[in-house]
Amino acid sequence: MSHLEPDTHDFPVNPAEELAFIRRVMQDSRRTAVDNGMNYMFWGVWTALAAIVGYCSSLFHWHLGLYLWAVVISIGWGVSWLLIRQSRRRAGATSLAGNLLVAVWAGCGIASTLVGFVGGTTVLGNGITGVIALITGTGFYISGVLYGSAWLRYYAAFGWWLTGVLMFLFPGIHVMLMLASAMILFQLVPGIILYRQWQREQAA
Amino acid sequence: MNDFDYQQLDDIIHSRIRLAVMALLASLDTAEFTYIREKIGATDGNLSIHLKKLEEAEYIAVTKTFVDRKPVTMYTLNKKGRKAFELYVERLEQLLKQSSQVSVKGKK
Repeated sequence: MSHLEPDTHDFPVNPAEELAFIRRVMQDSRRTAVDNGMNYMFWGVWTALAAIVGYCSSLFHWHLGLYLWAVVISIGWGVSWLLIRQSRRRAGATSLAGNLLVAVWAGCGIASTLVGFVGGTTVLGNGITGVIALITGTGFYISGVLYGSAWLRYYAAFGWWLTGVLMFLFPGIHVMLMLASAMILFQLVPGIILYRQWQREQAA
Repeated sequence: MNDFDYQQLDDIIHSRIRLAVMALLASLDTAEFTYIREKIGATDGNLSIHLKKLEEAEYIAVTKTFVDRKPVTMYTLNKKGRKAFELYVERLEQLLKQSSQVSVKGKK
C-alpha cells in the first residue's frame, strides 16, 4: 500500500478509485499474517525426530513408550505457545482468519493429545497414529481454506489422510517411520513454503 | 436514492486517512497503533487526530494494555463503525453505477 499524503478533508470523490483503494487496503491487511508457518516447521521436525526415536525404542526394546511422548508433547505445546505469542507481537494485528487458525490447530492438538494418551492406553491401541494422521489432515484441510490455498488443502490434507489409511491397512512398529515421513512431507514442507510466502509478503 | 448526492457520503469516513483506517480495521480483528501507522504511512500526531475523531463517533473502540511493560494501544472496529463503513462502500458503488450509466447515455 502506498503511503498517504497528509489528510485532506473533502478529498475529491472518484468512486472507482476509492473502491480500488479500499480493496487494496483490505487485501493488504488480510494478508497480515494469518501465519508465518513456523509452527508447522517446528512440529514437523520435532515429531519426526520423536517418531524415529519411538521406532528405535520399539526395535531395541528401550521401553520409552508413553514417557517419550509425554515429554515431546509437553515441550511441543510450550514451544507452540511461545511461537504464536512471538508472531502476534511482531504482526501488531490480529485477524479473524488468524484467530480461527489458532483455534483449529489448538482443537486438533487437544484431540490428538487425548487420542494419544487416553485412547492409546484403552481402546485404540496401535491405531492411535492413524487417527492422529486423520485429525492432522482435517486441520490442514481447514487451514487451506483459511489461507485461501488450494495446494495446502489438497496436498497436505490428502497426504495426511492417505497416510492415516495406510497406517490402518499396514499396522506395526513401522507406522512410526510412516509418521516421521508424513511429518517431513506434509508438515515440514508446507511450513517451509508458508514461511517463504510470508517472507515475500513482508518484503513487499 | 435517485440523483446521487456526494454529500450523502459519511463525513466522518470521507477523509483519506480515516477511510484507510476503517478499511484496515474492517479486515482485521484488532490492530496496534504502530501497525496502523506503518500501514498507512501517517505521522503519529496526524493519525492520533483521525483516530480520535473515529473514536468520538463510536466507530472504533480503543483498548490500552501493557506488553512487556510497554504501553500498547489496540483499535477495533465496532458494530456502528462496521455498519457505517458498509454503507459508505454501498454508496460509492451506487455512485459508480450512476456515473457509468450517465457516460453510456452521453455516448448515445
